[in-house]
Amino acid sequence: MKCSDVRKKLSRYIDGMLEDKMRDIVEEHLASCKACSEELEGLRIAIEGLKGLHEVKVPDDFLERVRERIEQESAVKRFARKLFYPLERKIPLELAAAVSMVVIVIFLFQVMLPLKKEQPVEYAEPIAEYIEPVEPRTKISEPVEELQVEELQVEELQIEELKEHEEMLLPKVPEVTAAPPTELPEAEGAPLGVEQERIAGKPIDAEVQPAKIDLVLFIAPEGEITGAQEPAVQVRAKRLKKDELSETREEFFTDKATSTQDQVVHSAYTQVLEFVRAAGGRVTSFEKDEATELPFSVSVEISSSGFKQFLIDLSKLGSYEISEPYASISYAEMIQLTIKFSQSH
Amino acid sequence: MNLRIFTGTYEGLKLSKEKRKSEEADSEFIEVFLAGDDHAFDALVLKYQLRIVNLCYRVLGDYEDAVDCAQETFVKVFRSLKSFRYRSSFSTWLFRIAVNTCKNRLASAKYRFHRRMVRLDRGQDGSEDSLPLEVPNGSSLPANNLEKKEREALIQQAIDSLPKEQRTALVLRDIEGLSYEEVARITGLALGTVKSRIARAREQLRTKLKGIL
Repeated sequence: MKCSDVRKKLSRYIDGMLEDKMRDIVEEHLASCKACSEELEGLRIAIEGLKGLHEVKVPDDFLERVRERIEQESAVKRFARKLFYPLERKIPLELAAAVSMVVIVIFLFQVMLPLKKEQPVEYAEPIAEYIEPVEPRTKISEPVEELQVEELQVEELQIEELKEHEEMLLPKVPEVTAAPPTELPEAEGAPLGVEQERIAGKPIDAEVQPAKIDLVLFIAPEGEITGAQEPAVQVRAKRLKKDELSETREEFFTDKATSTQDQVVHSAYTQVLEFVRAAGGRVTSFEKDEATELPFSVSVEISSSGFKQFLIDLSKLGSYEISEPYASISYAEMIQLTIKFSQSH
Repeated sequence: MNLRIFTGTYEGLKLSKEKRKSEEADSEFIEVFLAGDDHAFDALVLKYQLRIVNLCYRVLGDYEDAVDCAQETFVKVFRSLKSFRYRSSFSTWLFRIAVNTCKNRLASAKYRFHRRMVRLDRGQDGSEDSLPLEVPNGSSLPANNLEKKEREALIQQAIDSLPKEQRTALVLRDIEGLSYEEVARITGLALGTVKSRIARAREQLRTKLKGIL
């Protein structure tokens, strides 16, 4: 066997990792080859040198520091989980029933689209060029007294269908939106004014500018709607019947041992953030009430392309109706959204 | 849980009595920890910290990095202890985590930059003057051991210069004293690959240290 071949085997030979036959061949070669024997010896010395290295000490506070790091990590994780990750826990149905009395109302204002509800058809024409396929709700939400959870189907409507849709909406809108203060007991504040107030529309020009929207998420116990701003879109959650609670709704709930109302706020908040993420948006800042630790407001940025999906997702928190048809804000690249959470009392 | 069962799932039969005892102790610690006693985790850390710190030191070549890496390893262990399935012994699993943590560190660009800076700071021989060595009896090293210290620094330098795959295999085998099979289990490599990596590492080391050893 050649020296170069033998040399490759020396390491294995030292550790007894050669098969008997090969081992014999190597030994035979070594017996008569000085160079290879020296090489073998050199390897052995190198290995001894490694074995002889002194161990380094472990710092005295090593365990302590490990403990500290574990603590830090779980603190960060808990915080992050509260804010940004979908909730994983399952909740007993009893608790779910208690939380089901949520009515979430989202008011969109400062939407920069001028659409008079009286003449939706007309408006559909001039702004047709700005409309991307719209995916509004095709359902009209039922009066609050009916308690149902429905999976919401969203369809893409072409412009013609949009007209139909508006016609469909038109007669209903005054009926529903004009009445909220009376339909829903204990409504406070100014009348919702969907039907009265006009959203001052700015002329739609080609200039791309970030659309700023304030979104106020009102979380109220059953039946209440508080705070009135000028809504262009009104979202109302339906009350959930205990046995109709589907599995997906389990996501809503936290395991925080706080009041039911707090849980509702937290879960709604988490859901909203999840929707923001899914829409490719990002959180730019947020505020928390220091005392109660409840989310107070959050500012996000969503691209206009994701905004539609965001609204669709919001509709999953409850059904919503569109008092006036709207188009996606396609002329604005980014939408800055401030979502305020508010509780009624 | 029947603690004796798992030792038969792998090379248990070939294990020395001592090793088996050690592993039974480990699984007892784990059971106690999972039952809610955090101190059992401390016991595991204290048992293995010396070996892990040294493993990390020999692979990374820097003491502070090694301590940091070792701490990170134990944090990971804490996190995943619940899902430890006894498919290997605890020490194999622990070493695997340590090796991977080291590897990730070596691979990070941030680390490579950091190492370059450290080497410049230290001067040419790259030795660490303040390296805390485990000295038996706590006595200080006699004068001629300064030479030894330098020698060891050079050996470490030679180890540092090995490609990281060879380095890891070499450290596990010749410094940690683990069997080829154990090295294979820890690195997840085939036995043949382990053999060739160790062989090549040793040859390289021999060449680099020719004048010194």
